[in-house]
Order: sequence, then C-alpha cells, then structure tokens
Amino acid sequence: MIITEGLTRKFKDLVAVEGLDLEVEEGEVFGFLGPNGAGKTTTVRMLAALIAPTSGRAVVAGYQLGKENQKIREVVGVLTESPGLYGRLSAYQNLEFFARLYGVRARAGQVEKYLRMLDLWDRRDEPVGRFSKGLQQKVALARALIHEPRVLFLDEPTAGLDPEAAKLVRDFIEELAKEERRTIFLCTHNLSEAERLCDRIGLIKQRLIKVGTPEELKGELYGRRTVIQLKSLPPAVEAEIGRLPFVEGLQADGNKLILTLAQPESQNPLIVRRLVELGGEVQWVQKMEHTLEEVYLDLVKEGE
Amino acid sequence: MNYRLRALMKKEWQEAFKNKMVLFGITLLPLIFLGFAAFMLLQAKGLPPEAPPETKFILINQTMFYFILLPLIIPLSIAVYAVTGEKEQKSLEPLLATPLTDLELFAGKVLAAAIPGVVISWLFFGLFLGVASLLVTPDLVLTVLAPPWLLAIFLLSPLVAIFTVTVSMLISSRMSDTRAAYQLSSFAVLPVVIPIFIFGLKEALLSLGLIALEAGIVALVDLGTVILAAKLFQREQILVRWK
Repeated sequence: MIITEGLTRKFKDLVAVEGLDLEVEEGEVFGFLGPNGAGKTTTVRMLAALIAPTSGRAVVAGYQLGKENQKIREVVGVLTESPGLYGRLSAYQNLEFFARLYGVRARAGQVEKYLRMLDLWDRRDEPVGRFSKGLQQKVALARALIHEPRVLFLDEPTAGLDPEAAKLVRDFIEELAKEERRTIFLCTHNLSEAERLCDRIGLIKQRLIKVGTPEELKGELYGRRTVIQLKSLPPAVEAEIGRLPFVEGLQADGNKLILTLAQPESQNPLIVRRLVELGGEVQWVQKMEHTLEEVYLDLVKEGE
Repeated sequence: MNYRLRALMKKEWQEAFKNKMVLFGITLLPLIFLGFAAFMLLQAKGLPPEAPPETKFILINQTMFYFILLPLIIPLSIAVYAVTGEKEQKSLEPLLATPLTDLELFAGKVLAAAIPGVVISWLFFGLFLGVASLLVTPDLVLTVLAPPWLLAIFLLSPLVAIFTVTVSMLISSRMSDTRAAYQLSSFAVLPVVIPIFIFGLKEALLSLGLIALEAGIVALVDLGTVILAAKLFQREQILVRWK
C-alpha cells in the first residue's frame, strides 16, 4: 500500500529525512516512532503529497508520488497533530465541508455515520471551538475518515490529550484497524500506544533505524533472555554454565544468572538440569521482558 | 465553478459571517456610508443658487468616494481572516491534504473575500439611487448615473476589491496575528483610492477618462498582485514558508 525508495527531504542544509526505504502492507497498522525532529511529520507530509521529496520515489495506494499527487490526496486521510478544525463552525459543518471537498456523494449520511460513531451526533450543531481537546480530536479523526480513505496517516493522534480522551481516540483507532482493515500509518511518541496498536514499527531518526514487529525489535536487540535465580551462585557454576555450547550470552547479577538463548523453550530445561547437577538450588526461572521503551531508547541512541 | 471551489467559498462565508468585524463591515458600515452619501447629495441640493458650481462638484465627487471605499473595506477583514484564521486554527494542513488544487484554494479565498465587497457596494449603490431619487432633484440623480459613476461602480470597484484581497493575503501570509495583519493591510491598500480622493477635491466632476485611467492602473497592479499571491498559494510554500 505504501512503498518508498530512497525518499529524502532536505530543507536547505537540513536533512529532515534521508534515504527512507519502506513497505507498508494493505490493512497493516504501521507505527512510525522517533524523537522530536526525527522526520516523522515530514515523512507523512511527503507521503500525503503535501510537500515534494528532494529525491527518491514513493507509491501510495498504487499512485506515484509527484506524478499522481491529486489522486493520492483523494485516497488518503490525514490527521494532523492539532485538530485544525474551524472553531466557529459546528461539528456538522466542519465534516460537511470536507465531505464536499472530497466529493463524497451521500454526504449527509456519511457525516451522520461518523458523528454517531464517535458519539457526537447530539452535539453536531455546537461550534467545535467549545469542545474539549479530546472531542475536537474525535471530530478531526472523523474528518480524516469522511471520504473512507484507503490509507490513513495519523500524526501524534493522542498528543496533548488527557488520559481519558487519549483512550477514547486510541480505542477508536484500534476499532478502525480491526474492523475496517484500513492501512494506518501512525506517528507517535507513545510507545505503549505503538505496541498496542501497531503490527509493525519503524524507528526513524532522519534515517530508518529498524523495522519489525514489537516482538522482533525486542528480540533482535536483546536476544531472548532467561533469568535464573539461585540460592547462591559460586563462580565455578557460573563458568560451567557459560561453557554450554548453546549459551549465547551470560551475565551474573548477585545470585542471578541472565542467559541469552536462541531456543529458550528447549534450552531452559537443559540449563536447569545442569545447575541441579552442579549442586545449584534453583529458586526461580523467568523470561526476561523488555519494554518497547528500552528498545526505542537503545535504538535511538544507537542511531546517533 | 467546480464543487471544491464552491465548497471552499461556502465555508469561507460561513466562517466570515460569524466574525463580528466582518458582520460590521457588511451591515452597519454600508448603512453609515449610505447615510453620508445621501447627506452629501442633500448638501449639494441645498446649495444656494449663488454658490459656485465647484462646491457642488466636490460634494458629488466625495459621494462617489464612499462607493469606492466599500469594496476596499469589506473584503479586507474577510481576506485577512481567510489567511490568519486558518493559521491561528492550524487548519491549513488538513485543508491542504484534500484534493483541493492550489489554484482552487487561491481562487476560492480571493472570490470569497472579493464578492461580498462588490455585491454589497452595488446593492448599496442601488439603494443610494432610490434614496437620492426621493431626496434630490432629477438632475442630481442623473449626475450619479453618468458614465464616470457607472464605470467607477461597475469596473473600478471590483478591481479595487481584487487589489485589497490580494494585498491583504500577501501580507497575512507573512504574519500570524490577525489584528496586526489587518492594520498593516489597511495601510497598504489605501494608496489605491488616494487618486480618486485627491481628484475629487478638484473643481470639476470626475471625468470618464480619469476613472478609466485609474481602472487601467489598478488592473495592471492587480495582475501583479494576483500573480504574486497565486505563487504564494502553493502547498509547499504554505507549509514550509508561511509564518
């Protein structure tokens, strides 16, 4: 649904995005993670045919960027970081205006569908300037969806929202992804949000650092680790375990052994058996979990 | 006119007519000007027979001035808000993400701002003629229906409106504060009516030649400001350069 090859954007001397190679499948929720100024918004602007790349190429929903920009804008929806609504107009008028711009045929029905879906129907005639930020973001989300886009770009959809409003928006995105099978390109800072919503995640800092599922990213960076807590850990036991051919990494922390293994499901029992043979008293065996936050911070640091 | 252009113009008017400054511009201001214009004509009617004819000419010339000012003032607030309002509300990017073309965006904004000024000035000119026919003698009414007046109302007024709109948009694109943009635009568009005002104080009725010359100059200036403003209304420019 989205393919980019060497997509680059420079602003005078500043390189905002460099050599972006990416493929996003149809129906996929793709998370785009990176620190401020990493090039997330610039990427969205390029892919939504708002600004031109300096070099490289991209195909969005089958249309070539640069040559078929108008077509791209017809089939994508964009939710910007701030709702960007017309505060003096009502929710209905805001949505109706965009439905007209996109040439939506059954306009009234479509506007009603989204206002009802987002529980805004009863407040449809109120100026959106009076709405809370969360409600405004819901209207903005409806605006991005009013023409049933094949690709939805969401740029920090929950930034600046209180936890309740953020949850509302997040739940709605989850629903969209599950039920409507839309391709969603989600830029976010919120790592738990990315982990919860995204099928795959791309980490960017001007260049694309890594792409993978949240699990793959964690596994690739740290390997799969097992923590074994012993009553006591003599150095000889530690050395003996380290000599096992399948142990890829070993770290001792007090009475804990932290092992990196390729196949922990089959190798953990062998290690436990060997520990017992060596006289070790095993208290706990745990899978070592890493948060996406750790992965993110390490990868971003690595990318510097 | 295509559906996107119509949609944009409708939205501009929906927004503009909820703005107090615009509402004042399209309702009270024309009424005030109509009152002034009728008063000028009454003054001309009430002149004693021994008064020099120049006094009457000056009064009639100044009457015309009000109808040139309307298409200057009314579009100003709409045009400024059409740009700064979008910036303040951060609504430009979602708008630019739609299939609206750069030309449609520019044309929609210009037409939505210029049309009310022109239509209202024509409407109030019609009202003025009605009021004048009730208050003053037919010869005075015929004076304001003479070719210089008609050229001023039906050609110069729209040209002045386009000048106001494009200049205001050029200025507003570089500013983020509506009030400051409005004040600066007001100063910037004033020169366009100064020749009419100065010649109106001369001791003869404004001639067809003078109005045609002014219209020609404004048309040329319009061409330049339209080209400049159209260049500024390109997605890339708006997102990257506008303040």
